[in-house]
Amino acid sequence: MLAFPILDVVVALAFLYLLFALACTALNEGIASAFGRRAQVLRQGIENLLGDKTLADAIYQHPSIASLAKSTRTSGSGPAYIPADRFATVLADYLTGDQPLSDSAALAAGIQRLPPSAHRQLKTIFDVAKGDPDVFRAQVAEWYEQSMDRVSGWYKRSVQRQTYIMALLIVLVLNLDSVQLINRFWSDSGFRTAAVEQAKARIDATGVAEVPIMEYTGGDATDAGTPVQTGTASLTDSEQQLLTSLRGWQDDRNRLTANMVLRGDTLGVRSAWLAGTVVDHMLGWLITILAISLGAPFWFDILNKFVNLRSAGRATDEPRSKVKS
Amino acid sequence: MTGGTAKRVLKSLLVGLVLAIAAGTIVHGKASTVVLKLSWAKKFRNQLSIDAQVTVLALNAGKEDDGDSHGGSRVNAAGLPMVAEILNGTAPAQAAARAKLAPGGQPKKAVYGAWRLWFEHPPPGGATQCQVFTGQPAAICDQQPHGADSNPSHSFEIHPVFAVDGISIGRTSLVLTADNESVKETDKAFADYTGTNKILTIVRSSTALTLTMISVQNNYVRMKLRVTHVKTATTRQKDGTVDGGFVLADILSSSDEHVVLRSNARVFYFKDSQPGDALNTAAVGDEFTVIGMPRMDLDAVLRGSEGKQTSSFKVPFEFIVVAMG
Repeated sequence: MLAFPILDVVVALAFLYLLFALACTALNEGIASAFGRRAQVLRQGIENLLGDKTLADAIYQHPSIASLAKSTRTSGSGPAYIPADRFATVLADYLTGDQPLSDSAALAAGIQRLPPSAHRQLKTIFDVAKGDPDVFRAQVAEWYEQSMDRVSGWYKRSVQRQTYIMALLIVLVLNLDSVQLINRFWSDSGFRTAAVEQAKARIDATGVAEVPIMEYTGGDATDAGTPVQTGTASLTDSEQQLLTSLRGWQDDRNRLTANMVLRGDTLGVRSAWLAGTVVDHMLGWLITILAISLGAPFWFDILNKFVNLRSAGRATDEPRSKVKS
Repeated sequence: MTGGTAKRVLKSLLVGLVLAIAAGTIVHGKASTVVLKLSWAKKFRNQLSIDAQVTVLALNAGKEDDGDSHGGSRVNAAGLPMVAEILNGTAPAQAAARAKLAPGGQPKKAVYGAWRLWFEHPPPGGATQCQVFTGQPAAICDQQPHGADSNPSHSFEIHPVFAVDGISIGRTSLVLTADNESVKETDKAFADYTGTNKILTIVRSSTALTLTMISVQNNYVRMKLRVTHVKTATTRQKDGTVDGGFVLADILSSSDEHVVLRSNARVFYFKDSQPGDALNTAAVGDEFTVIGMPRMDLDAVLRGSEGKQTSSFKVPFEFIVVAMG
């Protein structure tokens, strides 16, 4: 039977790291949503793919693409996601103009009219398809999917950079000093228990660190539409409450007030306080920033293991009578 | 932080890490996710049945321990990997319907039956299955499109099937046979349905519901119910005719009938069946012993998630009566 007080401290700490990482994710998602970042990266990727901004503009103005933006986004310059088959169909439609999509000659003529870069790429695909419009569309869809893998990579790297900045901001605003947090979990059993209970609830509730936020194309029709991921959901209300129960700068502010009462409100006192505070917290801040940057899935896996381990034994704050033999 | 405290914390963290590694073999049930189109959920929230064109990939050859015939499908009007289940499928009375459900002949079968969303056979490892009607779904959607299987990983079912290609089987299949080995007693089944870890997490967007929870077992349950509200009729979406309805009922404990395990549960029945004959005319206070099958209560899911992006609560469930007990 396992019963180590430290286990609860580790669970509580891992859980807080998970929440900080999720908060970071939520901020990233909020910024991405507010600035239409996904849409911008997608647009950039499509311009890069086609090698021509005018052609990309024409694709975006096509009703099939414009309607995606309307149903999946509230602002910004375009949709956050374009399905591969729709992209291929729209491109073929643009190339064939008023002619049917199945008109091979119209398709060839459309490719001929394109600017050099786009012309070369699409002519290659057209040749590989041996002039068959259906095969051409399938090949374009595959070409688009491969390109979107790279676009996805750009977006992830951009988010990772943003995550470091967000982690720094969160740590400084909330004064998230890991060393201090460990001390508090060690000495404050109420706070520790609350965190452990929340951790168990999180593991039981989802089994995953983040749940996708999805949207559907196809309007209100109940039998049409494609699911599109627009973000991830993270913190529950009770978890947000736990985060707000952190003391933040309160202890440091109290120390400053005490110093000012004893020695007067001078620049020297304030400077000494600031320097002392930074020195005291630097190590803890760095640990927290690094922990947050590891991401929610990492901390969720760690938490999962520790909560399971804890479940295998007696919880440290539970009475012995609850132990099953 | 003093040197002594730092050493103590470091030592404890190391102990925790070692314990975590030792606990690596403890496997926690991983949650899986189903994404539904919001308008679809709203359409079916108070309905018993669904009509769907289903492409059946495989039909189980023999008889399951519950006597059902499983027709596995990944392409169907419900947009989800699913199973269509004929109760008492190998009985001679169901032979014609079973033959219709088998792969071959017309690829699409017109299947009419009760819709059922329940995390009984979710994908192992916690994958996400999305309702897909058109286009290429988001990358997170894992529809597991490989191979023909009569029982693919699924959380959606048409179960029980009332008719296949117009061959009605409500009268003959919705009966309890003596050799059905899968029926559980109420207390045992409810212990699973209402377990502390049977938490449903819902992420709701403007067009989608993302539902996440761990698996839940105990398919068929024998239960005694006491009617608290008489029937509310339900209609078949296809033609607007009354297909059955639901009563509200208290579900009584199998070990102590004075204990109500669930108050005012919605208990659905198919009109043209033995359970339909009994419940269609039931009065308040009438008691019945029935074989029921739980499904997620979409109405409660929609009410509970109204106005919130993320919500978590015990999985809400209701019953479909599949036989008199």
